[in-house]
Amino acid sequence: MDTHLTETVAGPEPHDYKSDVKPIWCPGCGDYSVLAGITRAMATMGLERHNTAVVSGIGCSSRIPAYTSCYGYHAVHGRALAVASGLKLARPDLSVLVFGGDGDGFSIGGNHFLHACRRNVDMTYIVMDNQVYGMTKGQASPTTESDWCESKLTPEGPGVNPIQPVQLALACGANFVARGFSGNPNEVARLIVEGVKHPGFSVIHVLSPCVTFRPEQRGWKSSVHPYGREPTDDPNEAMRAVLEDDGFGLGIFLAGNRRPFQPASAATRTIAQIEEGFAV
Amino acid sequence: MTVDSVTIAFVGSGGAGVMTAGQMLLDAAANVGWYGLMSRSSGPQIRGGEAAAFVRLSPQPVLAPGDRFDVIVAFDWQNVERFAAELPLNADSVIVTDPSQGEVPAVLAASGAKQIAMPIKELAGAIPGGRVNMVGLGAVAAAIGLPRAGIDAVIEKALGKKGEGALAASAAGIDVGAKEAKGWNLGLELAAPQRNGEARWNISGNEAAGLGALKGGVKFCAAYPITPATEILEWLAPNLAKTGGALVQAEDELASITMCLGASFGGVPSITATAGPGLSLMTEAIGLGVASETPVVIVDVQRGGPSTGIPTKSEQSDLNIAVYGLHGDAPHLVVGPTSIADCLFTTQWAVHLAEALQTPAIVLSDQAMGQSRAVVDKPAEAPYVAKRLLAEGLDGEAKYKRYLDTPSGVSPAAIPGMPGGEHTADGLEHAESALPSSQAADHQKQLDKRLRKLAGHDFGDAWAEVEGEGEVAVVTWGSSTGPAREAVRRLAAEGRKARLVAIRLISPVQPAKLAEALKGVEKVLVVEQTHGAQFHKFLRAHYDLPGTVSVFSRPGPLPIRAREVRDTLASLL
Amino acid sequence: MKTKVLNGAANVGLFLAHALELENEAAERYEELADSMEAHNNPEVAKLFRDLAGYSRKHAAEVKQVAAEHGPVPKVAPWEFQWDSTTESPEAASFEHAHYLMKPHHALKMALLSETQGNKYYASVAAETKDPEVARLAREFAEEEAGHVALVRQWLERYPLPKEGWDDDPDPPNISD
Repeated sequence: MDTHLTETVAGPEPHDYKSDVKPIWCPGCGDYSVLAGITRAMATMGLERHNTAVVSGIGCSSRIPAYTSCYGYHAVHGRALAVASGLKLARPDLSVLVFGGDGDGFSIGGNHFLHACRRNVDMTYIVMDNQVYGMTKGQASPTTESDWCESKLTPEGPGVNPIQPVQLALACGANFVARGFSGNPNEVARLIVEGVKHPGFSVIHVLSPCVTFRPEQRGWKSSVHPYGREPTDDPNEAMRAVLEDDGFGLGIFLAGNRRPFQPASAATRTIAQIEEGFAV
Repeated sequence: MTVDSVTIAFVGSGGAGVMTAGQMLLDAAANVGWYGLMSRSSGPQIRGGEAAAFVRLSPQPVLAPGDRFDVIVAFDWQNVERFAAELPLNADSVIVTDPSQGEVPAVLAASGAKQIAMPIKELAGAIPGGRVNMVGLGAVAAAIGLPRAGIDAVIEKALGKKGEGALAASAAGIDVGAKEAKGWNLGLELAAPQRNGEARWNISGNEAAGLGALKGGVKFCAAYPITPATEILEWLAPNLAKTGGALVQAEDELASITMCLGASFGGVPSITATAGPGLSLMTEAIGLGVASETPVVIVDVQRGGPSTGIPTKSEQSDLNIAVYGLHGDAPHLVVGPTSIADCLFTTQWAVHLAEALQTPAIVLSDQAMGQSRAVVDKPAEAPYVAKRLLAEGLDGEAKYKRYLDTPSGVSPAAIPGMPGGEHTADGLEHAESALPSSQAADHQKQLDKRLRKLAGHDFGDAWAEVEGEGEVAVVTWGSSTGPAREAVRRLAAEGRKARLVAIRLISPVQPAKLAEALKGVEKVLVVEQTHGAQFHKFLRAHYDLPGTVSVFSRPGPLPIRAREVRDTLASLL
Repeated sequence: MKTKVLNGAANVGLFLAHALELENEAAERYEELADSMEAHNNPEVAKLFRDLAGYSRKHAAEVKQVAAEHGPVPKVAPWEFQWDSTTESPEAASFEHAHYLMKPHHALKMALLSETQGNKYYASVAAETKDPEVARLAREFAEEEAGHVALVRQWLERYPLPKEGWDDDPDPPNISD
């Protein structure tokens, strides 16, 4: 019988990672559950709050840093991954987690997403995908179906195919790719723990319904299902499997072996020595 | 009978080695103890394009490009119309031309310059492995009295690795050129070097900026290449690594600036470098730096604008976007180096200021300084290093307030890793606690604080360079300082007094200091390299200028020459 | 990466770990819902959730007392808990059913569901376990939950189903960022 018997020493609790700020998300928003998953993950890992930094962009899910009690940086729209990359590259000693939504991450942030996957800096990116721009009143996002007609900006529907975030992450070289659902925050917690523990750039795609602009997403709980395979370390194998995924498969697709990108930082010269190069 | 300054151009294309000749001439002159300034011009081709190297040498520090060329050595005349406007000549000038390359183009011949025929190609061809640029260099060196030893040292350094054959060929080429020049008697022997015992450097503005960043304490750079800033990044890449820092290539300028903000949030002094188009892209994130009070330094090596403009030529037309380009009321630092050597001090100072005042600093360099090389006195050490005011006493009961209002306006900062200092830095307006706020009182307080920390700071004497005396003053900035300074000194040598005020600290403005510097002035001449007189309008908006104001404002690509400023000033005296 | 799941019916230590999680999460969730209602200017329902949180906290304190007397309780990761029909603590009210204009009736319906699930969990453990001590505790806690269920039912009588149109809001959604 496999148990971890410990003294009832007070380890950190999830609420230790929550700030006093009450979230302003609409009641019913999936992000509440994702926040629960995040704080549970942090407590499970026993992360030190002063050595943990959470970075976000703009949008409903990007409000998360203010709801945590770690260090946080609420950046501008679409640039969270770049800010987080700079932070981790300059301070590899910190745990860096990045949060955002599908608009912030895949529209304006698309280029940075591509390069973050490619660059493979050791950090974890949790994208809360509700297939809509919630904060600005319900426009289509890059993951919205092409025939969704509920936005005043695209009343005939976007007419453009959505991107598939998990496929994109795999194609661009992310080292750990998983999908969760806000309806199961404990599983989201588990995926976050695995992602943080896994070296390199980890992407956790979380389906998180928007109760205000996409109430039909309540039906997602009937659509999600286990991915049904063990995680592989072969990106090609993961991609082949994901191509058959219906977008609702939950689990870890890839736990790869790429080495994280982190430039070395030992000094080998003084400035005075460098200056000599200019001497006549 | 010697001269105090000699200005030379090498012109040619398709592998003639014009750039190398110019570089070697400068290096050789430096070896011998002369000062010098070299800039370059080229066509858009990656290889084989038309090229020109402009070198001015003097026993005194060279402040600006020469008023006109004393000697042009042309290896061929391909597409030279591209440079014609950059090759001012008159009847005292000399054009050394290879008859096999055709006639001197009318646009240059019209100057009345003396023409000397030299069969450069033929002479080079007679030497195994001989190159035209060595022949040209040998001729010029002889004409100005540059001791042979100086050149030999340069060839050894440049070509030593390529083996005996290359060295011999080059030496032979120099010999041949020198021999040809023997009979020319151009009267261009440069006055003897004046060694003052000080060390000297051979450096470009971009290298100086990179070194300034290092000396200021920068440990992180996120880079995206753009002409004419790329050399700063290329210099920083290995040198940051050697000093325990890191440079990372980003996917675009948006990533460059935001990565720097991230690193800076982690307490690591950070820098990026770009040009006008990149600065435009970065403005949103620079505003984030202002609002979240995150230090960062952005070097803008200005080039011809607007939009893609003229990437390889200089201008001073990014002043407006540097000062006014952020949305909202977003005061921040803008500084402008006044010379190639000053790129070091000003960038170092910018790193210090950005960290001390927890705000972005834009360093407005330009292509003329960035991509030109000069032989200068080794810059003095400056006491400015990155030092951020850090929060203390975080283990107490009171919750830490990241944006605490203080008399100076600077709030003690908590860096990730400091227990008790956890907070979320935000571009949203916020209360002192850092929590987002839309309250009037909070917005007012934070705006006041962010303004006060700059307006109330004592920037000391480095705000400008002031010299001379008299009732007429030139007010200028950036690379326009060089020709303005030379003009003022020439007039002074004639017994005609004029002052120079070259402003280094563009923003925040220093009205009291400028008033003091211009006390007694009746006529002001503003000199700048823009089409829309941006600097003049900036001065009018923020300063009271005494007496009557004249404006010398011309856009790139042509450099402003000392003679132009001198003549304009003289007309006011 | 097979996840193991640890069954609360197995022994007292694991049972207490489950019970602690169940009650703490229930209380936390009610508090969060109360916070959310306050942030959305629904004070009546906020108070309701606060009161429910209070009951859960009391029960959680009791469980904690039992656990303290028992000795060290195993540390179980959030996803290792085995619940009978839910993916997280059975008594943690699901945010899914919340609405910013919700009426006390709706809140109590949510609470009814949670408390019923809590009761069912304890009952199922009591039925499944082979450990007499676990059985005893599980029955006791099931009783407690049954009490909560009755209480909630009572409250519900005061708040009948609201008429249609309770969620009408003439104002359109707002942008804030």
